[in-house]
This record gives sequence, C-alpha cells and structure tokens, in this order.
Amino acid sequence: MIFEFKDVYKAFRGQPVIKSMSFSIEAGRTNYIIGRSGEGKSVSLKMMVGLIQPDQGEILYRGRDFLAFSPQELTSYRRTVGFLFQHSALFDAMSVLDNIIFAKQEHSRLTSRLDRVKLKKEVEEILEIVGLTGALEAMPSDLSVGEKKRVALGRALMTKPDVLFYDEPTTGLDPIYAERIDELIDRTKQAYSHLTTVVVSHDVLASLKYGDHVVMLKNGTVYSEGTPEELKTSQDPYIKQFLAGYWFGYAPNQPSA
Amino acid sequence: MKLSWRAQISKTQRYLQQLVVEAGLFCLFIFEIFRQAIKRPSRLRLTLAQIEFIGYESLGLVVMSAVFTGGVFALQIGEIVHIFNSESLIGAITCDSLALALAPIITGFLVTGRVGSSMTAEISAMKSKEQIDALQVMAVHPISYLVVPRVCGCLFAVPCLTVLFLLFGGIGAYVVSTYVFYVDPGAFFEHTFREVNWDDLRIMLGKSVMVGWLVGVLSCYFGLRSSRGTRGIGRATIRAVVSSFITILMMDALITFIDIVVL
Repeated sequence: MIFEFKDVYKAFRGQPVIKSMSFSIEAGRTNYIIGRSGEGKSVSLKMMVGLIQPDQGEILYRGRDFLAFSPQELTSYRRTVGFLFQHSALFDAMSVLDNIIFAKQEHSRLTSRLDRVKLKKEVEEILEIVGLTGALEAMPSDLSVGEKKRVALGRALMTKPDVLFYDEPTTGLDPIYAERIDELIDRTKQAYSHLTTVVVSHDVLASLKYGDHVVMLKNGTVYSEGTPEELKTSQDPYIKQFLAGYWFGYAPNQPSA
Repeated sequence: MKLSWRAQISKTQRYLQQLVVEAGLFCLFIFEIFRQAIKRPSRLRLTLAQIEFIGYESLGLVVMSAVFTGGVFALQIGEIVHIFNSESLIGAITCDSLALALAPIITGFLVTGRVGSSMTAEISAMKSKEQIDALQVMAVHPISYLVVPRVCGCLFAVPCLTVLFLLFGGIGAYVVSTYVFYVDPGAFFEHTFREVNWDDLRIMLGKSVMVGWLVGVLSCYFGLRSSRGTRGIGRATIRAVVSSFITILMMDALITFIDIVVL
C-alpha cells in the first residue's frame, strides 16, 4: 500500500466536497478513482501531491504521515512523482522539447548541468513511447488536445517517477482518442513495471479494462473499493447503474454537493 | 436595500478581517521572495530575460514619453519664467522637477502599464491553466521561478529607464528652450548642471528602485492571488495596476516628505 486515506474531510467555502473518505492506493498497480462530477476525485488526487490540504483526517504515504512532511521532504517526494493535469498544463512559451526536459533540467542544476543533446535523445525515446515522434520543436499551440496530453505524459515520464497521477486524462477527447490515451496509460504501466499509477476518471469501462484496483466515490465518500471483477459482479443498484451508464435509476440525476 | 447597523458592523468586521489576512499573506509573500532569492538555483538567465523584457523592450515608450514630457513641461515653465526674463532657467527647473518627481513616477506608471499588467495577466493565466500547480508538482517553487526573476528584473531595469527618462526629458526641454524661447545652449547647460546635483540624482535613483520593487512585487502578488477563469485574470490585472499606481504615489510623497521635512 503506497497511499492510505483515513477519514479525510475537505470543504471549500463551507461546502464539504470530501466527507470522511477512507481508501488505499496499491503500490506497483494501476489504481482508478471513479465517480460522477463533483465527488472529490480530483481533490483527492491533488491531496496526494500536496497541492490541497485536507481539513481533517490522515493521509499516509508508505506508512508515514504525509501531512507532516517538511517542505524539503515534500520537494524530495515530488521529484519522485509525475502528474498529468486535466488540461495538460504545458508551458505555452516553451517547445515540446523544453516542456519535457523542464523538470529534469531544473533539478539537475542543483548538481551538474546535463548535456542538452543527451536530454534530446532521451526525449525522442519518450516521444516514441507516447506516440508523438517528430514533435520535438513544436509549440503547444500547434498541438491538438490529445497530443498535448501525450506531451504532458512525456513530461511526467521524463523524471522516471515512482508514482504517476492522471487527472481525468480522457476528458475532452473523442471516444477513439480517449481509447488511445487509455491504451497509452496501460502501455506506460507495462513499460515501467515498478510504476504505481493513479487515474482519476469518469471512464468506467477503462477502469474495468485497465485497472487493478478501483475506488468508487459517491457523495464525497468511498462507495465501493475493490478489483474490477468485484465491481462487475456487484449487485448494488448504484454500481450497476453507474457501470451501465444509465441516467435513470438509483443515482439521483443532479450531482451532489 | 439599506443595511441595518448590525449588518453594517458585521460587513465592516468581515472587510477588516479580510484586510488583515491579506496583509499577512502579503508579508509572507515578501519574506518568501527574500528566502527564494538567496537560495539556489540562481535565476540569472531568467532575470536577464526579464531585464530585456522590462528594460530594453520599454525603451521606445520611455524615450518618447520622456521627450514629450520634458518638452511640454519646458513650454509651461517657459511661459511663466518669460514674465521675469529668466528663460535660461527653463532647463534647470525642468530637469530638477524631472529628477525629483516626474522621472521615477512617470517611468513607474509606464512600466506598470506596459510590463506590470502583462506580468499579472501572464501569472494569473498560468494559474488558471494549472501551470503553477504543475510547477509545484515538479518540485519547482513558483516564487523562485516566476517571481524572483521578475522582481530582480524590475529592480535593475526601472532605475535604468528612469535615468534615460531624465536624459531624454532634458533633451525635450533643451529643444523647447533653444528653439522656442531662444535660450543660449551654454546658459541652458550651465544652469541645468548647477541646479541638478548628485543629491537630486540620489533621490531619483532611490525612488526608482522603490518603484521597481513595488511594480514587480505587486504585479506578481496579484497574479498569484488571482481567482481562476478569465474574469479572475481581468480583476487581478486591475488590482495590480491600481495598487501599483497608488503605492507609487504614496511612496513618492513619503520620500519627498522625509527628504524635505525630516532630513
């Protein structure tokens, strides 16, 4: 177990988004956090990288209190993770190459200046993994949404992370491109076997197909947690409705606060 | 709808609380700038890029503004001193006024309008697009990467631009003095160099360093504190520009008061 959430609570402007949430993230596996919009999926993901602090509760990282990390410890931890943001968050003024090498260059400055040519070769290899060869000198504005996500994945992979976080990687993509991104997440996991993957998504089918461990959220709490097989065979009406994707049935139509 | 006195008091309380919180956050921000500025990695390349953006790319604007400000100021002064047949003093009075008040303030306004607003908009757009979060996740401190080079750039570029403003304002005054009021060039320079002394230049540079600091810090602060979305970017830019203008004028009044009354 790499992450453990214990009774985590978070409210924004008095409105609770996460209410007593407890779940775990398994090391070396592909973990999916699924749920409807506004259930606190992205918030819980951002808590795992220290971008958002919970109001109450405990988060353990490899058995240690993550919330008690000093700024130095947090910096060291962040050097071991990669994060793919929902809208890619690429730096507009930088080329694909500069975006991908950014973190590595920043960190290597502390010890020695790395050879740019060597980095370029490394980037070419990564672009091949994410299926975007030849885009080295392109600017983010020249790329499609899907291509930007690939570059963002390349940037996350460049630092050889132990944990890779994906915040809704297929949002805003057509079904074909979304499937390609899901495949890419799976392919990346195969290529880096030690990697722990945490994906926040609406895509139930992808979570069942590629996930090893699925956490389902509802009303700011964990509704279900287990393997995709356990989820598939569940007789719970809400889970059945969610998996089928029907708008009518057990789940209320309006997203909960 | 008119608020009851209880509602008025609670509204004022909330406003004051917010003000105290904002002041505290601003102090922490300043402290963090100093902390990050002395930490490695040094942001020399980024700072040089900012100096180019703030200083070099503002040259045309500052030079044009300075020539016209100096010229117009000389015309106005010329009209008055003409009554006393003292046209040869036009250069001295204009350059002294430029050095002591106009050059740092107008340069500050120009830099705020051209550079400060752009800095705020850029940083708040980065925040809106989660790029600041991305920096943090990549273990890069946003203040070290974004704020320190911009503030250092302002601290260096604004005094340089102010000196240029004075120089070109003086040229504007010279043109008006010699071609409109037929002042002898020798008399113009003699009076000007006698009147504008090192003390004036020292005050001008002191003010311009403060202006640079204020523009850099406030622009970055409001950029980082902006709320997300396009409306947030607009509001942050307005707040940065307005507060820069006001604090520049307040700082100018304070330094002038200390210089004239206290020292």
